[in-house]
Amino acid sequence: MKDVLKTPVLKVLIVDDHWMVRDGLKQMLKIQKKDYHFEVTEAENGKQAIEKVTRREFDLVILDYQMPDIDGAETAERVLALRPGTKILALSNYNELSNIERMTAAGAVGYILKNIGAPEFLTAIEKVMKNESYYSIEVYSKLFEERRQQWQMITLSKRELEVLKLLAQGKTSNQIAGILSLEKTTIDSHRRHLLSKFNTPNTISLLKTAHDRGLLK
Amino acid sequence: MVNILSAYATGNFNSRLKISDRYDDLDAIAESINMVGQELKAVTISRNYFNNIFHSVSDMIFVLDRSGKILDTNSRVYNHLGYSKESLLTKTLDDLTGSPKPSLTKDIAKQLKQPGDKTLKDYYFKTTGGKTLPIQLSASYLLDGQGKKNGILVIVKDRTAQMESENRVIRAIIDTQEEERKRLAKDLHDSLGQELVGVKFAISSMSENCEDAREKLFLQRSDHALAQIIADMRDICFNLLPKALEDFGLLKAVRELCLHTRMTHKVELKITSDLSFPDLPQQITVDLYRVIQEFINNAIRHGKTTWIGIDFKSTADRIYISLEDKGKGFSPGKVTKGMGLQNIESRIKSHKGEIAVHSAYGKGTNFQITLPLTY
Repeated sequence: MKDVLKTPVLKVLIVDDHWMVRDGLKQMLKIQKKDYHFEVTEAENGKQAIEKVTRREFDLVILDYQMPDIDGAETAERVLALRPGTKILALSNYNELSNIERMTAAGAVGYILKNIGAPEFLTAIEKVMKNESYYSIEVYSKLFEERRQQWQMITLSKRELEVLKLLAQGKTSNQIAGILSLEKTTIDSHRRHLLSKFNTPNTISLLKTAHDRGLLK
Repeated sequence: MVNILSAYATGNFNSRLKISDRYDDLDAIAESINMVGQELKAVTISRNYFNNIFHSVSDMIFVLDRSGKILDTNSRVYNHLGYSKESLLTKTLDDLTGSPKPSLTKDIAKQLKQPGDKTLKDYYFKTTGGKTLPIQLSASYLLDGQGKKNGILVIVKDRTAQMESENRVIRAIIDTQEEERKRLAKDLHDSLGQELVGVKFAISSMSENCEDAREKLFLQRSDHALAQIIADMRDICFNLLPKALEDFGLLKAVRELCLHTRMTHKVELKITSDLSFPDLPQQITVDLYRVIQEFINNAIRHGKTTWIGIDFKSTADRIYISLEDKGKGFSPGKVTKGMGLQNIESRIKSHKGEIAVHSAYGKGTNFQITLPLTY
């Protein structure tokens, strides 16, 4: 991949409904001392942003989450539908997981909070332009805490893991009982424990969750 | 004389015998009969008077014997509950509450032994049609002519209308409060917050550009302080009203709250839910969120818990939320002020929901919330 930051001009679209925020961002982009510079365009809302993206291509769109008409996530989706190569950096004052997930699901590569400083802002841009995800430290620790919690909640015994893998092969309780030389009622109780440990209502979603967590490899 | 006696026998006590001038034995007897007639008339008038009051007051009246068995009821009991007087004889008030606990008979006996205010609140009667009637009641002893306790008089008020108006007042207070919180969060985040962000970005750029060491340090400090202020403001807005509550519903908002709590306190929180848990109207969503928020606050602050479990379940017409901690617990009778239990109850009850609080010292706390889906 070519190093975009070595190219002289980076076309940036700043989308935020507050002019003071847009001004501040422009200010931070101006002071950087590296040998590239930014060509900045502004949009006040999602609708304007989409219009501007329709007219010309941008390398980077810096996108607020909360906007009056179309929110940041929808704007991101529509920008990417028009120009799939555009990099999106979400910029928000919300540090809630739902917003972070919504923005990243919509295609944002990075998510930074609005109390970011100038050096970190530039690092975020650099990373996102290399298609590497970047999160403010508060965002990152939230994502990490959520992951930690999910993993911590599930600890399986050796037997439960065996039963889980056999279930994934499509075996019935009776067959599993035969394979492991155990009573069917024992297998059924293992299955009940598995459902409650994974917090899933049935075997299908149990297996899907287990698969998503890489437990069936 | 025969005519008079037969009139008296049919309840007509108005006729009197003529007394002659002879003042003989016959006159003496006639005089006595007239006196009996006058006495009977007086008693009958006061009985009619009593019956009129007994049946026309708007409250339900029960006369019980000392063991709590029903001896008499007024017609309001039939109007309100659908039970005829005959069908209630020898039953107790507990047969009307539809559940043996709390025992109304026992509670009345307890109240009667205490001096002062004898009003009992928060009880319910079941109608023959299966409806639940909130009631409040007062009891007193029936005394006979010698002042002997002869039975118990129980006056029961239907609280439906009163509770509805109470609910409307509480609801209005809660709604105003929520409206205010929402407005404040929006103002802080949207205008004040964004302007601060703008200023912070400008100062951050200036501090990067600054050549003078002293000035640079000053700008860096301001930049740092502003970053902290913006982060604090973010927390304040989150506490006022999480963005997720409006945008993503109750479960996502509770997840947000648990995550936030885990990162600020040493406590493990576990959320479980069935997949079918429905999307709820905004007002119920906010109320349930506040209840859960209050529970978590209490569990940490008063209960010193290290573990909290939150479970969401639903059927076609009901939702169930169970909140549990393993903290110090409390005795439900001795709730300390500032625990917001009243607020929790009001919010749940204003949606015709029920909340059962189980707790004891050293046994943790458990709230079971049930809400009908009647919208």
